[in-house]
Order: sequence, then structure tokens, then C-alpha cells
Amino acid sequence: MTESSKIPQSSHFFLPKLREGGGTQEGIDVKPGAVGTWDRQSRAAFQHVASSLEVPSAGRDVKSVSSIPDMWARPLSMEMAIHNRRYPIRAQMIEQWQGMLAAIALAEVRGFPLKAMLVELEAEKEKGDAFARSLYELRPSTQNCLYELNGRHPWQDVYVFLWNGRSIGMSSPSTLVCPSEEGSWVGLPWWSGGRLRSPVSPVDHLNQDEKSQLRQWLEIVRQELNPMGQTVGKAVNEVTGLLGEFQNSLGNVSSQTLKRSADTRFFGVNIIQGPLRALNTPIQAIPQDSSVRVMPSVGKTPSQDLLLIPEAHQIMREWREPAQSIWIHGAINLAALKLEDVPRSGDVPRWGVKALREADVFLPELSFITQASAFPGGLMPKGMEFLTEFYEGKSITPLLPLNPLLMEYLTPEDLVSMVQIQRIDQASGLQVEFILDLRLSGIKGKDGVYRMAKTYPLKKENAIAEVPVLELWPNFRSDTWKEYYAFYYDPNLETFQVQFAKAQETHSFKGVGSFHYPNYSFPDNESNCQILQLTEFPSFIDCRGKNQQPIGLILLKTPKEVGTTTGIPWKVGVDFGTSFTNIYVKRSGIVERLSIESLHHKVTESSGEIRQTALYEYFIASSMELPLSTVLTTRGSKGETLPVLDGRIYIPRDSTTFKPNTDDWIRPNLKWSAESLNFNRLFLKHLILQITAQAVANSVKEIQWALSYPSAFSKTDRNKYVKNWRDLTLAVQETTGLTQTCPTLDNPTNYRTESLAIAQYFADFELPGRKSQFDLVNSTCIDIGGGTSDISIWEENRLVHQCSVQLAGKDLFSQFIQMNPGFLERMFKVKIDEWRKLQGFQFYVKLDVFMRRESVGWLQNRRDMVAEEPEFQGLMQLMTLGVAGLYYYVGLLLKALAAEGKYKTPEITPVFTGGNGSRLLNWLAEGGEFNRHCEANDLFSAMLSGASGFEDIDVETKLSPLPKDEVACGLVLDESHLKGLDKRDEDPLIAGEAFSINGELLDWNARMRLSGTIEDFEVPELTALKHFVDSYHRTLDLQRVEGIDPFKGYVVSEESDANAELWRTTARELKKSLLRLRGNADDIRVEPPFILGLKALLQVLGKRWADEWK
Amino acid sequence: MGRRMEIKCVRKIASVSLTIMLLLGGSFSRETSNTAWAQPSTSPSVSISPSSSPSPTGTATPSSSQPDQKTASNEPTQGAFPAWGWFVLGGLGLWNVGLSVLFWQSIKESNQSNHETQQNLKRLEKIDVEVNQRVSRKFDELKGQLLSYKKTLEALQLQSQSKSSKSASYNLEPRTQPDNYGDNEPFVSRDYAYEPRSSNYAQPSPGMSNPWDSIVQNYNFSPQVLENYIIERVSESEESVVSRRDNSNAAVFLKAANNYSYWVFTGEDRNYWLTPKSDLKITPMGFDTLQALFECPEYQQGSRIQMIKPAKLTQNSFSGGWDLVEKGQVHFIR
Repeated sequence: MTESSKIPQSSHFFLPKLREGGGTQEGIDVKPGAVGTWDRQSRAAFQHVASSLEVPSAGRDVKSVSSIPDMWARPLSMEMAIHNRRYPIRAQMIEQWQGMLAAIALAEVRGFPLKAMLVELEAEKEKGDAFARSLYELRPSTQNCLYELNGRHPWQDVYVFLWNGRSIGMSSPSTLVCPSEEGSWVGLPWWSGGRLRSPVSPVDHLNQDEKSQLRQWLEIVRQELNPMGQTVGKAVNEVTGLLGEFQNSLGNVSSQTLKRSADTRFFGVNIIQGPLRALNTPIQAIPQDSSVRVMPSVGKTPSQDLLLIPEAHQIMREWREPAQSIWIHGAINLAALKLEDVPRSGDVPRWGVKALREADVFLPELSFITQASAFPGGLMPKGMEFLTEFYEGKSITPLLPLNPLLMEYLTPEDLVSMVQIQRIDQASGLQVEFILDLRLSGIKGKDGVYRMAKTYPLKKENAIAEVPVLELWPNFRSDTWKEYYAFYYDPNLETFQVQFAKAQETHSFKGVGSFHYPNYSFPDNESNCQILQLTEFPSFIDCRGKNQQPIGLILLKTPKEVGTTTGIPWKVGVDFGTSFTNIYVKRSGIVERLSIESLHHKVTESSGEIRQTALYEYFIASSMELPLSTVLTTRGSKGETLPVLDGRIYIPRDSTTFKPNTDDWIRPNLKWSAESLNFNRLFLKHLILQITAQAVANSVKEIQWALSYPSAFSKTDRNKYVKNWRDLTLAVQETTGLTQTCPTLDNPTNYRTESLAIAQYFADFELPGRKSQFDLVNSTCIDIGGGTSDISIWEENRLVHQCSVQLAGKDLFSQFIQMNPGFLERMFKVKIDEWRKLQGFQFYVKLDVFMRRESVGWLQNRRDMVAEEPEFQGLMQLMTLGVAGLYYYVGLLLKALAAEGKYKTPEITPVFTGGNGSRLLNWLAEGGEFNRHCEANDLFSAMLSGASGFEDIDVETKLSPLPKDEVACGLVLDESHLKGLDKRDEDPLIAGEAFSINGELLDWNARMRLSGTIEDFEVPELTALKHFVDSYHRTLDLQRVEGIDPFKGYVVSEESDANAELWRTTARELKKSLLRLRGNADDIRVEPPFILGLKALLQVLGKRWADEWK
Repeated sequence: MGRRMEIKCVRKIASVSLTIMLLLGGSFSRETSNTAWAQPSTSPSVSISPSSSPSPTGTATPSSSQPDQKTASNEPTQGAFPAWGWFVLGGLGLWNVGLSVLFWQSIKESNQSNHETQQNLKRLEKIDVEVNQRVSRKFDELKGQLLSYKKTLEALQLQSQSKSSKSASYNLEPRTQPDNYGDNEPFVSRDYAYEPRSSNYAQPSPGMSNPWDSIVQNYNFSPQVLENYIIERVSESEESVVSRRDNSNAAVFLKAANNYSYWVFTGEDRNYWLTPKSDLKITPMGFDTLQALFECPEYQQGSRIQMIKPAKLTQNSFSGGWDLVEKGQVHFIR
């Protein structure tokens, strides 16, 4: 001190002054020597000098000392800080030391990007690396080293630690680890402001488990330093002491038992030098339940969990939890999560889960419909009222801007309850905020609801003015029903596109053909359609923009659940007719026509006219009134056999717009044409599906089908028909779960002829409130259909005979109109250009459609006004002759049956007529309503008498009050007082006219038992037919029938050459028909020769009439 | 742009008109108040006239002479005059003298006041003349401005008309209920309670003879004008579509719809008239309804609707929807 007083004021000291006492407290005796004299000093002299100097305390902000001119400066500085308690920035250096140890320990738990590499200086030096050589040469002293390297200098082999590939520290023989001074620990929570700190101070970054495990891990390091607890050197003592202090700073918690990483090369190398071994295995992350697992709705059992990957700061703020407490998956918590390891949305194969990042929960843009309540079949969140008159004065309906992945885990009801809409009025414009309170698994014992929100401006480019037609069918849920259909139609209104999850089949197509109007056909070539088959009712629709980009969801209301186990069974009778198909059902003893209710789930509020028409033309019609036209539409078909997609029941509009000839997607004639088998199956499959859906909607457990066929069906036809039904019902049973019982060929109760079914209807069906007005004590039932008339003759409720003849509406009416379509133009004011182009069956179908809608009103209002007009009168003559011929044939049957002894009552029978064709009788009656008092009734009675030879007792012809309902209804009437319904004996046709087969001549009353190959079928003479026509004209004369004129030029005469021209032409026409009756007998639809002759006669007379009015 | 200027002009005209009214009203009221205020100046002479027979000026007003005549007519009844009568007369004379003194005093004061009033009156008359001159000047000035604005407005209207080919005038009843609306049913319409947004729609031009002429004109040339007058936005109901499919002669029925295709208006005859919405895109399926509501010649793809005559509707009081009464007519133009 005395020396110092002599020093000049302007001098600067090389070193600070000595401390008071010069360090004698620590046993150091540093005294200045003589100036200018070199003294020998011990190795510790510099250390002693350093310890004796008075150095002002460094502030907390000082993190390093940079005055040591040494390549090993940093580890030496750390060494001094650790081993010299008076080191000026010891506290800061120890913080850094602790920080690095903690980072190594928690590297796996937190997923730190920490690796290590071994640097062997000697080897590097050998390679000629000058820097390595310098380091090697300047290796620090081993004085404070904690270990030795088998005789080698411990400083020559060190591990360099890398963070994201960049060096951030090294191992140190004297301090275990040494963080580098400016290491970049980006992402390490306890590295902030460019400075490494203790993990628990000043900010506590560890949770209790981590602290507990770190404490135990440090204990292992301590053990490595002093495995036996022996007395060891000062350096080891110092370090173990500091480790102890570090342990103490973590608190005395033991919530989690330490497990160490199973990866022996976690840091990339095996750290094996001395006590550094303890660093080699960091703490093992212990898997925990995810805190961010989306909680699935009740009933949802997804195969994989969905993890929400939240915005770290957002969820930490929301839940008030540190990142390390929010568990993502397995051993990875939010703090350890590397975002690049998980996709934005989708599968994480490594984890066996799906992940969805918070940023991708909401879509980037909000698309909206500029109309209120645009999705009546959808669910909308709370707050929709804020969107009233919101955008340019219009209310809006938003598409929910949510990621569809959520829908795999949540029911639409649950999801929509989590969403709310807020309106935000800002100077920059109106905005909508969507808030989603997603229910996550959460942290043990805490509510896991996590709120996310996104605000959207309403952009013009995202405004959608119109919605497409979007429908689902059927609108119920059932455990067993697995056949749903979705329909999309956009008539090019720039709406939006859609995608359905799990679509089994998809038919996407442009509009097909044209829509016809009275004066114009409008091509539908700009519209876009989609029909999809799904196995379950979708919970949402994923809407897409022009480029298929997601633009939002429509959450669908979950439809009502129906069961099929508790309901009552249905018996369903199906009359699959040539022109119309009708269905009756018996449930709980009540027989009624099936009412087909709409089972559509209307998703969008599209324009009413577009929706309905789109459904009629491209999908399942929302309104189906029985009887249905037996017509199929194949619009959008791929030519396959998928019901609905490849063919559906078609409800024709009116005759003006129904063009079966030009519209090749319209398929009529499904019942008879062999070429239409696929279309026949498509029609029936849709029919079965439609009825099954009605049944399931009513919780029915089983359907018993009852089917009819015309007696005119050949054996092959009958087999095919019933097999078809069996196959189709089985297929429907498989996808709907509803038990379907289909009759077999030999089940007369549920598979019977149309003639029997109609007889049962007349005998047993009672209209509500009144008893049946028919009895079958002694009667004939005729079901006049489009193509066949089914006849059954009854005596004392016992079936005497049944047969089917192919003389029906087509032959009695339609063919004449086809020959002379001008009749329609003149009588019904219809433009007939289109009609003239129609061929054969196409014409009949169109006429059926027309007559169904027009005839009743015309008969009531116009018939009598034109009754005297020659053209109309001509048609009446033809129709009357045709029906009279049918009655004449029935008279012949009575005569033949009486001769066979099967019909015992010697009198003609009343006739009950039904079927769609029975309406034709109204044309023959004044006032347009047939009854017992009209002239035609007496005429027909006389025909029965004339043919049978029995007295004409003026029997009545009664029309069914429900034409075309009789067969379907009769099929479901079980209990009957009729006998012979289950008769299985062959009842061959009675010819009515003498004929020859393969050269064998048979009389008029012979049964037509055909077998083998028919090579020749002849009708030598039309004796019975001539008798009929004579008898017909005589009766007109005798009964002085005024309403029906005799045929002009017809001569009633017994002479053989009378009316020679007529009969020659008829015979020629008949020959054409007979030529068709050749081939295998089983495949031939046999017709009685009398009826064949009558049809030929009607054609000849019809042509004459048509020629007259051309 | 033109329309905005038009509105601006109308506003200025309205404000100028109001200013003129106020100024004129003010001058009138001031005149009126002057007159009213001037009356009291004459009132002193009137008020004193009944008892002012010994007028200081020696002049008696006709009104003041009448009571004297009445008094004179009573004199013959006095006859013999008793002593107490002289006493009473003397008393009355004294009383009269007192009163006369009193009245003279008040007349003197009144004359003084009258003089002041006269002076005030002169001053006010002077002010009045000045105000009238100022108002007149201001009036002339505003009249000039008004004429100027009127000319600008006419020019703008002409421009607007030339843009929309002919005329943008419209004289629909803005969402009012027609007289013939039936029964006591209240008219139910979401936007029924509408006040006309502007009153600048001209009356029908002399050439217009049909109640729907202005609807047609506006539909064809400036459909956006019509939007303010829509009574209801409608579409054909689904039931109607189904019913017409079954029977093409079935009636068309329309009802209010969020996804609408047609507009309903009231015409000058206070009937209801229907037009397609101006931006209706004609689709194969929508064409059916259009044909049911309007006589349409053959449609050519890509053409747009030109209104010839709107369809006439009647409100169905049971359902609140609309029934077609008479088909309208449209053409299609490219």
C-alpha cells in the first residue's frame, strides 16, 4: 500500500489492486517482488494472483469475461467460474452451465435438436489441421479435471454439442459441460435475450414431472463423478456441490420416477468419457394422454384419434398452462413438438393418428349465399340473426368455413353447437367472426374446451347468388339401411360444386337431351348433374369452388332414426302392367293403395320450379302418384345396372312434352319386350327400393310380396318374372336390412294370374263404409289392361275357367288413334306433328299419358257434343265391335265350358270389368259414363247370349269403381270366400274358332294344349267371327241401337260371298299374326284363334276408318 | 355519376326553395306583426270614445255620439226636478268635472304616446321598405339560381333518357295496397310498409294508356328503378310445379321465396303485376314456369327478356300466395 502512494497519478494499473489481506483468508500469500527482477513461482502463482486481486462485483448483465487471450478461453473461463467461488461472473456462468445441463437432460422429453460430435484433437492434428494442432498444443491444465482418459490428456478428446447443426457448447473435463458464449439456442425456452439461463430461474420453465426427473438425472451425474462416495479431489467436490445446488433449486419433488432414454446414441455419438457417460442418456419422455385430442361425439367411433395442433401461444394463454404441460401425443408435449413433423391436416403415420393444425381449422376465405335460409336441410350455428340484411341489403347464409376433417369426429349437431357467429362492423367494412369452442381431451381434471376464432371480410368474389339443387334420399337413419342416394343439379347458375365423403358410386354428367315445351325444345346441355350412391346418410356436404377448392361445409340435420324390428309386416301387391303399375298394401288388416310419401331431404332452397323438374327428370321424383306409368328414364346412365343411377322410375309430364320416340332415355314397354330386360330390372329394382323405403320409414319389419302375371305370359315369361323379383328383392334386402319374402313359382297365394287377382278384388274388397257390390255366384270378371284382357268365369264362387287374351286397350282404342292421329287434333285440339313420328309402343305410351289426364274431362264435357260426328261415330263403331267381340268370346267360353260340364248354370253371366282399359267402356255410353242402362250394355248382353246360345236375360256389365286398382288390391286380399284360387291344374285356352296346328285340325271349342315345336298354325275359316259380326249387326238392328251405327256396306247374310272383300282382307291380316306363332311352344304367347281373327278384323276396319279421315 | 349529380341538384333546389319560403314567410310575418303591433296606436282614441263626449279636440266620433242620443231621448221623463235632484246633479257635475280632469290628463298622456307611436311607425315603415327591398333582391337572386339548377336537372334528365334509350320515368304506386284488396285480411308482406325513396318519378306520359306501361318501360330500360317498388319476390311454388306436371292446364301458383325468380308490383290501376326478375337466367327448367306465366315466342339461347306486358296476378287470401289471372307477354332479344 505504501508503494502505491508513490505511483504517479497519471499511471494505469496492469492489474487491479490486491484485496485487503491479499487473500490470506484462503491461505494465499501474494506479495509483490522486487521491481525488475524475475522470480521462479509455483504453478499456482497465477491462480493465486487472480484470487488475490480485488475485482469489483460484476452485474447480472455481465455474462462473460473476454480478456483471456487463449484458444481455450471459454472452457477456462467456465472452469474458473465453477472452481473459483470468487470468480466475478460466477453466478451467471453457473446459470449457463445449469441451462446446458438441463437442455441435455431434457433433450428427448422436449425434442430439442441437440446432437454431439467427438473431436479428437490429436487425430485432427495428425491430419495436418493447424487449428487443431494449436488447440492441441495449448491444451489447458489438468489441474481441475474431473477425469482422465487412460493416460491421455483429458482435454484432447472433447465432445462438441450442436443445436440445429450449429455449435452451442462442448464437454469439458473440468466442468462436464461448457456452453459457448454466443451459442444460438433458438427454441430453448430458457434461452432468451441471447443468453442461456437456468431452466427454473428467473422463469420456471419446467413442470413438476420434469423437475423431478431432472433432479434424479443430476443425481446420476453426481454418482458418475463420485461413484463410491469416496473422498475425492477438490474439483470433483466443487462440481458435485454445484450439481447438488442445482438439484436443490429444482425443489424436493418426486412425482415422476426417472426413466432414461433407451436410445444409446440419442445425441448421435456414444458419450463414454469418464463421468460424461451420465450425459449420454437423457431423460426419457414418458407418454401421456394427449391434451389436444378432439373428443368425438357420442356414437362416433373413428379408427384414429384426431389431434388439434394448436397455436402454442394461443393455447397457453387460453388454458393458462405452459407448453410442456400440454401433451400432444405420446411422449411429445407442446414444448417438444416440431411442427414440421405433423401435416397441416391429415394422417400422421408415425403416430397412428390424424392431426389438424389450428391454422387449418378455418378455411382461408368465407363463401356465402346472398339469400336468407339457403339451406333448409342444413344446420346453422348461433348468431345467424346477425346476418340479416347484411350484405348489400341482403341477408346471407354462410357456408361454414371449417375443415371437413372435424366431421369424422363430430356429429353435425355437436359441431354446430360449438360454433357461433358474430357480426363485426368496422370502418373497413362488415366482417363476420366465426368462433369455435372445440372440445379437446384437455389436461387432467380440467375443461378441455379450446376456443378458436377467425374473422372474415365479406368479399364480392365469394358471394354466391344461387344454390344448386341438393337432395338426399331417403331421409331416415337405420342401423341396417345402407343405400342412400344424393343428387346435385346446377343449371349453370354458377353456384358451387360438392363432394360427399364415402360415395360408393358417382355418376357425374352434363345435362342430357332437351326439355320439351309445346313450341320449343330447350337443350339442357349446360347443366351439371351428379347422382351418388352412399352407404350412410352423410353428415355434411363439402362444398367446392370453381377449381374444386374447399369453400365451406353444409352440416346436415341428422334425420330421424327408424327401426325395423318392432313394426308390423306389410303385404304388398304389385300389378306391374304394360302401361301402368299399381301397388296396394295390407297392414294391420287394412288394405289400401300405397301412398308414396316423399322421403327427400331437401338440403338447399333452390328455386321451386328448378328443383321439382330436376327431381322428375334426373332423380327420384318427389311426388309419385299411383298408378305409375311403367316407364323408365336412363338419363345419366353409364349403361350399367345400378338402380337410380342407371335407371329410375319416370313420371312423364304431359303428352305434349313426352317424346318417347326422340328421347332415347325414355324406356317404355318394359313388361313385354325381351330386349328391355335390363330396363325392366332397373324399373323393378327402383320400385322395390322405393316401396322398401316407405316400409322402413314406417318401421315395418318385413315385406311379403304378392305378384301377378297375365295368363298370356308364357311359361318362360312366368319363370323369368318371378326369378327377377326374387333376385331383386334379395339384393334390396341386403342393402336395406328389411326382410323381403318373395313368392315362388308354385305359390298361388302370392303369385297368381291377373284374372284371379281381379276376381278376388270383385269378390272380397269392400270400399270403406260399404259392402262389396259384386258377387261371384255366377259371373265373369274381365281385367282390361293395356295389352291383355284377363278373363275368369265363376260359378258359385268357384273358379270355372281363367284365361288371358291379348285384346285390350291397345287393340280396342290406341291402335285406331295411331292409324288416325288427326282424330286427336280435331277432337282434343292437340298438335299432332310429334305424334305422327311415334312408332308402335311409343305411341301407345304417349297416348296413355295423354288419356290419363284428358279423357275424364273430355268424356264429361265434350263427348256428347261430337257423338253424331261421323269420325267419332266411326271410332265408336270400331271400339264397340272390339268390346262386343270380347263378350262374344266369353259367350263362346260359356258354351264350351257348359259342353265340358264345367259350367252348369245354363245362363249368361253378369260381367265385372276392371283395369285401365275398362275406362274405354265409358266412351261407348251417352254422357261418357257406362252403366246398365246404356245401349252398349244391352248389346254386350246380347253378344254373350248369341255366342253361348243361352237366353239373353239382360245381364249387367259393372265397371270397377277403382279402375287399375283391382289387381294390386286383389293380390293383398288374403281371406276369400272364393274357391279355386289356389287351383294349379292346367286350364288351356279355348280356341273360339276352328284351327289347325302342325296340320291337325281342331274345333272351335278345343283346348289349346301346345307342346313341342309349332311349325304351322292355321285358321282355315273365320266361321265364328263371321257369326259374331252378323250377330252384332242384327242386334244393332233388333235393339234399335241409336248411338252406334252399323258398319257401312256390311251385309248381314248367310251367303258365303257376302262381305267377301272384308273377309279376304281380314284373313290376310290374320295370316300375318299366325306366322308369329311358330317356334317352341313354351316361348309362344298363345292366343285364341277367335281373338286373333277379331284383332285382324279390327285392324282392317280401323285402316278403313283412318283412310276415310286422312 | 349522372344520377348522383341529379340527386345533388334536386337537393339544392329543395334547399333554395326552403330558404325562399323562410324569407318570404319571415317578411310576411313581420308585416303581419307590424300591423298587429300598429293597432294599439289607434286604440287609445277608440278606448276612450264612449266617454269622451267632452273631447279635448272638440271632435266626437260617431260611436261616441250615440250614447248621447240615447241620453237625450230619456230627458222628457225628468219633468219636475226635486232639490235632492239638484244635489244629486251637483254631485254628478262634480263627479263629471273630476272625471273630465282625469280624462284630460290621460288624453294628454295618450297624445304624447300617440306621437311616439307615430314616430315608431314611421321608423318601422322605413325598415319595412328596406326589408322588402332586400327580400326582393334576395328573391331575384334565388330565382336565378333556381332557374339555373332547373336547367341543369333537365340536362341531366335528358342525358339519362338518352342513355336508357327513352324514358326512366316511373309512376308506380310505391308498395301501396290496392283499393280492391279484399276482406279484412291484413296485407302480409315483409317489405310492405315502404315509403317512397324519392319523389322524382314523373307522372305517366300522355302516350301511356295501360296501367302497366310504366312497369314495362322501366323493366326494359332501367330495371334497377323497379327494385324499389317490388311488393314481393316470388317463385312458382313446388306444389304448383307438381300439379302442372300432372295437368298442364292446372293453375300456376306463386309464393314468396328467398330464392325468387319473379317480382310483384302494383300498377296504376292498383292491380298486381308480375315480371321476371331483371337478372333471371333462363334455364331449361325455369323456362316451363316462364311459359306458364308469359306468352313466349321461341326462345333463342343467350337471348334476354324484353317485357311486352306483365302478367296479372291476384292475391290468394287463403294462402297468402299469388294466382295468375292473365298471362303476360315477353319477347326474347339478343
